[in-house]
Amino acid sequence: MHFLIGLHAGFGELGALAFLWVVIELINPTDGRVRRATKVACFGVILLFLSWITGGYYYLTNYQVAVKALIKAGPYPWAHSVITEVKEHVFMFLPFLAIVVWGILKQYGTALVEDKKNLARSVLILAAFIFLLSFLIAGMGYLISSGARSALEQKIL
Amino acid sequence: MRINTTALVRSAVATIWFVAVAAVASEIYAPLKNFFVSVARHHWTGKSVFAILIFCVVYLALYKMKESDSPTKSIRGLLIHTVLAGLLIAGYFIWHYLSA
Repeated sequence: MHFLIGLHAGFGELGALAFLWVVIELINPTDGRVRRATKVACFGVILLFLSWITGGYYYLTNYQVAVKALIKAGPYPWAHSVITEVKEHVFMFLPFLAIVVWGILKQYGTALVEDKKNLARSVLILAAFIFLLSFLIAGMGYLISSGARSALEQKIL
Repeated sequence: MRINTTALVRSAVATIWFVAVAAVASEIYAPLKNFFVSVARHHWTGKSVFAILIFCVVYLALYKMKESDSPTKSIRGLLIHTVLAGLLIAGYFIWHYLSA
């Protein structure tokens, strides 16, 4: 286990939880809850970008150098050929979706409480989607790690 | 600072489709992959740089446009585009693995 994987996963999961927090604030929005959701969404955007940077650094240094070849030679080569390939691209959707949530909360603010209830509901759904997609991607990370671990076990045993 | 949320949604849609099309096209057409490598030493970094650039450029280009009367519809569209783009990426790499 490399510490950069921990940082990448930690930032990503905290970012996902930030958007779960946004969902909870928007279930029954008040002025205070919308203001809090805006700050939490901003924090979530920063966390997802940090996850992108740390994950990217690990991917370009350790993963490309050693892990990729190991997985491809192991019993589950699809862990790289399908899962890593999908994860490394689909992950890039998240920070931009997160900016949209933050931008709408920032722009409409407390208008979401009375005048724009349908918009608040849509932002809630988008935040929930970010949360679910983030944890789907975390699950892909688990499959990639399992692919590498199985390849190592095959070598040792 | 005023945020144009319609421009924001459209720039997110443009960025998401760029990522999806670049992911598939750079696998099919090697010179495109090499171009991304030439930009930032690795094709994934090249795509990341372009994704951020496209998001910023499209947002700035559309910043002065009129806000949509139905932002709810725009968000629904964004979700649909995201799912379709994700399916394109997943579908291509599953097909590519199975047909290898």
